[in-house]
Amino acid sequence: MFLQVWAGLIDFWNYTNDTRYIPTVQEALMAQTGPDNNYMPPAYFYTLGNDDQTFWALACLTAIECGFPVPEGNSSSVYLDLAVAVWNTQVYRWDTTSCNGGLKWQVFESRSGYNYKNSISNGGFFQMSARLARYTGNQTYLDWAEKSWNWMRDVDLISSDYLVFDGTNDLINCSEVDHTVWSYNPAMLLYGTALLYNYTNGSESEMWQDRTTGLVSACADRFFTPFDNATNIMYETACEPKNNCNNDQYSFKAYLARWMSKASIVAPYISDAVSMLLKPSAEAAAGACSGGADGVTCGQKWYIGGYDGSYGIGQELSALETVQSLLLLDGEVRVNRRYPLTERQVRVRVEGRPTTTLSIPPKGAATSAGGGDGTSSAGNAQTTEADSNSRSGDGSGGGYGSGASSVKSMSIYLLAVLPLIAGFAVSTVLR
Amino acid sequence: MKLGVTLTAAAAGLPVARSLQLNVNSTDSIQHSASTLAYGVMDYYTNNQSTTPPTDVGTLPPPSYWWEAAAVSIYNDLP
Repeated sequence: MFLQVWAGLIDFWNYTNDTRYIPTVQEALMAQTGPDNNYMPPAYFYTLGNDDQTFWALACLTAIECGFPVPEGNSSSVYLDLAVAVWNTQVYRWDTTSCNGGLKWQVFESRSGYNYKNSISNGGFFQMSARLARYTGNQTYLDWAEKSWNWMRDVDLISSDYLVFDGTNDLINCSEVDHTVWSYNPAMLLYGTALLYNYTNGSESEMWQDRTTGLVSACADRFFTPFDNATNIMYETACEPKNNCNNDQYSFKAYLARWMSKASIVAPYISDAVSMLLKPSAEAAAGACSGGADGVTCGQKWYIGGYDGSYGIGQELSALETVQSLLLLDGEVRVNRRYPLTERQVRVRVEGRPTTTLSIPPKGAATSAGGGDGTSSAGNAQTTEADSNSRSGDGSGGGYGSGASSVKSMSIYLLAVLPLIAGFAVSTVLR
Repeated sequence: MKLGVTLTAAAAGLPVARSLQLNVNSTDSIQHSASTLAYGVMDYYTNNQSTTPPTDVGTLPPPSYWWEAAAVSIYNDLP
């Protein structure tokens, strides 16, 4: 988890031009590279998950996408080299002895959790692959991005309604899934699908667009508006209302804000919808950051209108990343590098003003708390759009979404068919 | 709601807590709040002292990296 802090601080520099933490971030990124320069420090073998290792690589990828300075004495490609080295260790770990593939959560066999194939590890590998694909133009990374997405779909870690569940047990061949829904899991996938929508063309791009749309819509439905009077305020559904978030879970909102906003840059058609969610969330977060002796310490819950007394680095990071995401989303704000870089020879579409906008209807009366207009019922699994607004339980047992299970059955609509092939106001950029 | 609480407290002669006072429509306000929050995040990071062991640099002290407990409990819930 601590690794995600550094990526957030790289973004802080990128969005504000404030250089004061650069040396600290550089030192941190270099300190944990391990003897093989692949973020496998022996001191942490006892706790090394594929996800932990990936988070370092993702910080390096953020560094190269925005041109974060390389520390003196290092090769100019050090961040890319590190990310590639991490990816190389993980592709080697793709495990076909169970579940037809997937990555195990833990790296080492002696570790508890070695038989768990989870979404954060596989989704992290997916996002790494997507970012490397776009940055380098190398087909191998694109192939693996597709492969890891398809595997997650095949074992139902990603549902047909774009819910992303926690993980699955390879001792039973992944025949059952832990249906806990954490915000960072779809968020991790969303930046990857948005990048691939941008990087690919034609029907391939449309496929990634459908997935981007599905993920944004599912996130909007699942992780915002806990109550009717807390419209569009972000919350960690699986633990905040029950007051049982652990230390890492306090930070998940940070990643949701981070990846939703970054996805909006490369898939601008979602940016209005994302702004509509992140602005109220940032406001609410600011209101929650009102505790402590300094009067600005952040609590955990943002939807209660004040400080809830639960403080820590995860809470603070969640507030930081949600607030600073507004700088990225606002096209008028000068940031260092808004559009993620690619290597010189890679061509990507650069979309200026999007020609279409994803519209997500506000969550209305369709709540299981019964404050509604009576037209929807949490228990009725046959309705379509209303049902996808229900928030009964944690999504296990099929209480969520319609059985028809396509993106179009969810409460979203596109204002126009996206003309990806012709008539699109873009320019291609050869870098 | 926040303003109401603030005014009430002030009227009662109680000390009024600071808060971020974020205006999401003002770039300056957002940047200012972000700076305050970044400082707050970094306040939790102490492993950059001259006395920090090299293996600890870049990491956060417990309990931040001890997430195996919660994750294992999820794992143990599976059959």
